[in-house]
Amino acid sequence: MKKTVVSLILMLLLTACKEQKTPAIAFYYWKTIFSLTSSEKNTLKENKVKKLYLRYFDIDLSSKSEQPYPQSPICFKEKSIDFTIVPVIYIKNKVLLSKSINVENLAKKTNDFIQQINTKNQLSCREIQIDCDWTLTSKDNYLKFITCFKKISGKKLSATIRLHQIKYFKKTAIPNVDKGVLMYYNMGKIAPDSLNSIYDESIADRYLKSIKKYPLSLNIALPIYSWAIHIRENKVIGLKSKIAISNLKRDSNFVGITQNSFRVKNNNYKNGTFYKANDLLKIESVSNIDLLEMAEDLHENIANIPDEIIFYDLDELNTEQYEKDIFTQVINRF
Amino acid sequence: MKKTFLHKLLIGFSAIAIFVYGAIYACAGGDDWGIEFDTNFTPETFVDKSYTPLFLSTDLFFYGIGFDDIHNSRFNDEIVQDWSDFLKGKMDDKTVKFFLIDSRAVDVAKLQSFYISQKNNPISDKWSKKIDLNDRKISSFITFLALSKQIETASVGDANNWSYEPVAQKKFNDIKLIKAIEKRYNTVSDAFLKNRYWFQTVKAYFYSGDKQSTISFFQKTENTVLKNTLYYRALAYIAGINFKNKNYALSNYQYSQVFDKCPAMRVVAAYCFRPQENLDWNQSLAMAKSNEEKAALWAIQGYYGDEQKAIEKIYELQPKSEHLDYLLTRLVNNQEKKLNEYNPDQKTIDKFKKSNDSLSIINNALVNRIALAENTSKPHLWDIAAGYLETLGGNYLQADKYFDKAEAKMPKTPLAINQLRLLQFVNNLSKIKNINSENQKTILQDLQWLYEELPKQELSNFRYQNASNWSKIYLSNLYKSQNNNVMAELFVRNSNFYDNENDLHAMKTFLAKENKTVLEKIAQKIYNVTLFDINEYQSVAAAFQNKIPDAIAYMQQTDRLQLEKFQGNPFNGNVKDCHDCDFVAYQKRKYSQIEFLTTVKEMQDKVTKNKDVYTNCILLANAFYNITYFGNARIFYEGNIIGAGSSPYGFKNKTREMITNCSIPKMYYEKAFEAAITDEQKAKCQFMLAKCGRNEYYNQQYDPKKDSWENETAVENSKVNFLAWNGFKNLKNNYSKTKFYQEVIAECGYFKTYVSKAKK
Repeated sequence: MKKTVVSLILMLLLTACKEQKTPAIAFYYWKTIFSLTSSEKNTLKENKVKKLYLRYFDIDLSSKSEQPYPQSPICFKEKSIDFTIVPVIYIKNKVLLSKSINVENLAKKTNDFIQQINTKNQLSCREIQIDCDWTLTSKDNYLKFITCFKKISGKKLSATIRLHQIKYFKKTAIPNVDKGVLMYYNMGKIAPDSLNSIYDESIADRYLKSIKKYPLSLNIALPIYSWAIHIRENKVIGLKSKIAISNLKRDSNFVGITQNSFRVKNNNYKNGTFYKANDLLKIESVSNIDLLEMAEDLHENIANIPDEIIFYDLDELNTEQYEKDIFTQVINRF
Repeated sequence: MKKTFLHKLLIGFSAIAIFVYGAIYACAGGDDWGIEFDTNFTPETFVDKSYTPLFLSTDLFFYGIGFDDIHNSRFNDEIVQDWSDFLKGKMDDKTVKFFLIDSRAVDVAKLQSFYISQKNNPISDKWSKKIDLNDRKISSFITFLALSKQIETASVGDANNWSYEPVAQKKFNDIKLIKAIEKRYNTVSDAFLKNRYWFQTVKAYFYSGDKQSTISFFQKTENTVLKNTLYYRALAYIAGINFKNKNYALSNYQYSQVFDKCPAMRVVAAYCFRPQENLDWNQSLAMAKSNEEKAALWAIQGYYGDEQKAIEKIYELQPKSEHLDYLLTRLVNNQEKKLNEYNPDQKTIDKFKKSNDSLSIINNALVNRIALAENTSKPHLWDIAAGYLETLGGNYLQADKYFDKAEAKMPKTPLAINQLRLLQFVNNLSKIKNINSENQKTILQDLQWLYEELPKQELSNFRYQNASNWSKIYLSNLYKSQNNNVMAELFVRNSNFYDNENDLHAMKTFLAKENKTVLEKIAQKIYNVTLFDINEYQSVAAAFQNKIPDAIAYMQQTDRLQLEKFQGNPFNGNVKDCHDCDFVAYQKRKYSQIEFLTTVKEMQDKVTKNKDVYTNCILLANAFYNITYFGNARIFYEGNIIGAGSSPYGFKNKTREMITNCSIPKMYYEKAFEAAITDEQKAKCQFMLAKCGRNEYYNQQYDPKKDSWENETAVENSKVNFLAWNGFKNLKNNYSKTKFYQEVIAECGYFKTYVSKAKK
């Protein structure tokens, strides 16, 4: 009897605990001009979104000078911003592989550039996120960059973490940040095969068990984007981000060959792209069911309930593909 | 003045696009923009260099340059030349360049203020010593610069710096200045200056964002201006506005004109040319007023995918069009790429087999038809292309005819001569299906040229490396099919070749023989294994089988290899396996490979004679341990045939098994244990046996289904640290009182953990 009471109390406590810890909904905004459509504003309002992760700029290596520079910095058309903003800086791995790189200087310049953007747009931030698909060869520079940047910026720091970095963290190392964001997408290669490069449960399975062992506290990023892969003679030649299956089905220049792929019948132009006869278009997307499956799989395999689920990325072309309450459905699975 | 063509107006670049490019780029797997397929056909040979970025490239975007990013400097040379001609005798070229390109606007502003106020200032004083400021041409130049440099605040951008511009697109809003420039255009009488002001007016309107005024000024004046570079640069602004206004048909038609008439802007026009739907593309075609204009549309359209149709159309409209040249190179390079798809492993002898692909047949027929008609501007290019496509299709004799025709007509540039020779060689080698002393004569000179002479020459862009690799594979396969394994190995090394005793001996005989044929000599020259390497390999193999006299005999036939010294003492056995520690430790004697083997032999002889058995056995055990992957003397097995590497998983299975096998050291440690007298000696043997046991455990973890990295990670993540082997158990149970035991406790964390766990 005593045991039953104890278990009941424990269960209640656990349930209560879990309810309190439902993750918040957040979004990445990944366009160079920050301007929200009314549909995007609605999505934010209906989901009580308080935090937006804004891509501020990429850091690339100049092909001429071999020096890092900020590529396509964000430009604000939206004047009033009622969200907590987290600037996200994407560092291309080749920057960190460069032999002439001065990591400390790069950290200084990066912080200064963020400040310039904030000052010119009257913004402030408490957290900054660094996004980089670092490799074993760039690891040392990346870790050093993070340490320098943390010291210089004095802000809370988060970093994106790819699945392979979770599984092999002893090799790939853990950046010295306050929070990691597990990117639960980009699982495969963008390739002509029949797999889905955005999400594939069988690939995810290989990594799920490792998540619990990862020593850094994690939030989770889930994909809501889709695209069509344009294939010619078995080679990927482009990605199209604004293609609707219904539109292709209506077009006599395209013949459906499977549920998600089409063959080009005749040479033609469509939405500014030239399609050659026999080209293939493979549509890759993540369904409502996929998202819920991801949430459940993750929930079963994480050590702690994340504070936030961040959806990549906020764009009405993406959100319109889903049921209205999908984001709530997803966080309720945690 | 830096001039620019910015089409920011057109490009609403979203970051998702950049993200996406990144993803494909990553898949392409390299930093080099260019070609990822096997190619023998160098497009640079006969095609004007204004088309170079449009050659077939398997990476994004353009061939050779990746992205086109010279918007700020594309016309610098031409502008400097134009003004230098205008100012001839009044200002030297260097000074013209300084004012146009290098000068800070401050010099120009100060000189302009001198002209307006007629009062000297330090800058005018400085320049008056060098140039005649009162000269009318010079004052016109400075006034022009003073006006036009102001537009550069909007037109010249430096995206590569760390200064944040909070606007998506810079604008030039000084209406008064635009009017002042337009007024100059209307009033100036000098034709050169009038033309420059005309362009500046279009440019100023364009950067003001006033699309309507830009177009109406252009339309009002275009018939009066020369159709020079400035005109086509202005036309490109207008095409950009039309695109932004969704007048796609007109925009693309105008870009095709820029493509056709302004070589420097070909890459820009090709980038901006974007028909949206079939309808607007057909409308563009309908706008073309002549065959030449229609051909230009097909020429730019052909870049995006269907060069075969573009060639057909252009040839019909304007057979002498220069655009045909670049499209033909794309067609040929695409055929090569397609052949890669058919033969992805590139190993088959039938790499150049006739493909049954219907499109290839149509392409060949098209190229043949045009080559035979001989009415293009470069008939030799069509002959060479037709010949090569015939080779790819397996019609070697037909190919010969085309190549002969090309040779008679083509310009004799080094690149052209080499290109033709290369394609003739590929054709000649392809003819050989069974190699014999007679037919090999047709390729001997070319092989020498390909393998020895070409790598020494600096012929930039010449694509001969593929033919070099392919010929080796082709010849190797020929010899394989004729059961001549030695010649097959000489052309392409096979990692298992030396596993076969007969082949090994045949190779030794071949390398040693005196009277080699020319082809045999060529083959041996490209083969990087020597007789010494083979003897060393045999010596190592014998040593790992504990056949030391054999090992010594082979090692003695290795030239300098036998003298190579070990970095650590190969007879030492320490608690920890630590190369670096052993390398830096004091060594009374440095052993060479041959000394090592002879010392091993001496010790073995002593053991046989029962002399000092414990000491000799433990030294022998250490020696055999050290030459395995786990020991301090990996240098012993590393060589040209076995290879080298820090991970055992990087070696082929047979080698990995050999270099990780500790059964011989184990046998000697056991013998030493049997002969040991003191507990200290016994303790040491037990610990060493445990090391062998641990290594065996590692070896068993190997999973052939996993790659080398996964195997390594699996071992690192395994629980091996806390497993005990008999050696550990014996050491703990029977020899815990020894000094050696204490040494192990101090140095070996595994053992310490094992002991502490066992106590609980």
